[in-house]
Amino acid sequence: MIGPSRASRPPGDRRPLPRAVRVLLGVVGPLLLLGGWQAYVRLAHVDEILLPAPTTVLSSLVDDRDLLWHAFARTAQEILLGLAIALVVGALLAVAMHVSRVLRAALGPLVIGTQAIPLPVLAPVLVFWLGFGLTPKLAIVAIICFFPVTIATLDALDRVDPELPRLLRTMGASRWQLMRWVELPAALPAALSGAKVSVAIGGIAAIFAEYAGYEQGEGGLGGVIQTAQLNTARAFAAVAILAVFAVVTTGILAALQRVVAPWAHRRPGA
Amino acid sequence: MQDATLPAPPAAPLVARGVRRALGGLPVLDGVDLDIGPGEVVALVGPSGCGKSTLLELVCGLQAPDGGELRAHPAALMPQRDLLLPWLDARDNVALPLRIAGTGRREARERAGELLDRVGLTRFARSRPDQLSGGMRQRVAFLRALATERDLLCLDEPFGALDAITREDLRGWLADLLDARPRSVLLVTHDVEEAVLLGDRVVVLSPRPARVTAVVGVAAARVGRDPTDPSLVAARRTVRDALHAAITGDRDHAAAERDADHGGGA
Repeated sequence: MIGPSRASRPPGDRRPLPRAVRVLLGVVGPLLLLGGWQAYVRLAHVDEILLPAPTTVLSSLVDDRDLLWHAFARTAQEILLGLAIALVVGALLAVAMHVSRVLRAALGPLVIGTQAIPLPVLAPVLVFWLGFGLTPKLAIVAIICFFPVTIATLDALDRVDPELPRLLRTMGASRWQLMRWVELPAALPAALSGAKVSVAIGGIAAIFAEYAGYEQGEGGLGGVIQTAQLNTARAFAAVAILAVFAVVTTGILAALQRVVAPWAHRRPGA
Repeated sequence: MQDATLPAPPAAPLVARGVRRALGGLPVLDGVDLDIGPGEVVALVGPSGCGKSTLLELVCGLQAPDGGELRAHPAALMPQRDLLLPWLDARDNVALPLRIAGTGRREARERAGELLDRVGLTRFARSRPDQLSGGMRQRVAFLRALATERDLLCLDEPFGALDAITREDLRGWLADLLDARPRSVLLVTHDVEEAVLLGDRVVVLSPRPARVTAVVGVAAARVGRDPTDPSLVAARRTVRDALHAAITGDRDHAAAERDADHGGGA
């Protein structure tokens, strides 16, 4: 095989960069941004109560590590469990809407409508109903996260090659068998793709839920941000943790997708 | 007095008499007659768009005829695109019709594995379709049709998407396999050479609305046919002439109708 040469790389070539290069660039990109940020805060003498320098955030990460770690454990729990609920409920909803035209017509506008509800409106109502424990947080994260899962899954179900049901019909397959052998496997990678999209907004939803249903000592990263007051660096440290968590969780979901649906990831160039 | 202990002759897997079918108000099949006996391979050729696929769907039970008589044993379909399930390996794809018929996973896999073993594809049993070549995928798709254990196979341009060499290779493979495991086959193709190489009989359809315009028998044994064999050359010429006659006849017929319309309207 001829090695990839920059000059001869044809337009539309979708070969990924070597893994080591990708990881390096993924680290260098944020570092460049942080470097610029650091220089701006120092050179322009920005008030660090307004915008702390990255190094200040870093020392907060170290100094407040116990507080932050405890808060992170809580928020991560909310995001991951909420996301799991969204994945299951969102996929089931898509299957129901795919199978029943009546359900599809009845639920379609409702599903889209839920996404228009602003979190600050939704969160207090759910806290009022479900109390101040973990439950309202999971509900809020799930309500925000199920939508991309449902849309992606429904889309995959709709795009199943129409010749496959015909072929299975000649074999005498039932509706359930068509679902089991064709539709569910086709929808699985799409549902996980939807969950990947949901990870970042799930973090935002969890923070809002923690704001609305603040619990003393179990406020999660949202509680840390809310109570940081003039300690802006600590709030930024909480945000940094959320951002890294989103990147790692998305990566884990991508890996999970490759494991459970290897057919959807043809090795490029193979 | 007749001997009642004699077994009844096996009913023909396919009997079609005057089958008619219209789609969207337009006639597609206009009284098609077609018989396939046990173990017989019938190739169906006709100009593109003549209704071959519609006839195939009727035989497979995916559509019902509007008129005429159609009696067919349950048929196994091998579609033009292999339609292997990308999430199943070759063995599980072959086992699919067994699973759908209610066979347990272990037994279905065992039987699919045997089928793959017998045609020398053991080492591909655990490969997913995206890891197989086009020719290999068509082989697996054919084995999937065989696995149904149905005595009537409907092959819809099974080698249409393959390159010439692979196609030639697969024709021989198919002829050998059908010799070892006889089945009645309805082979839809637009390739006259393929029809003559694989068929016991070649049925020529007219342009839409289709009816049978010629039936050409091929006497040579199906296995190891040589395309340059004089009898095959002759059969090919007969089929080709019948196809041309059907197309030009249709044109002349249409022209005559146009003239008649013109005369009547003036």
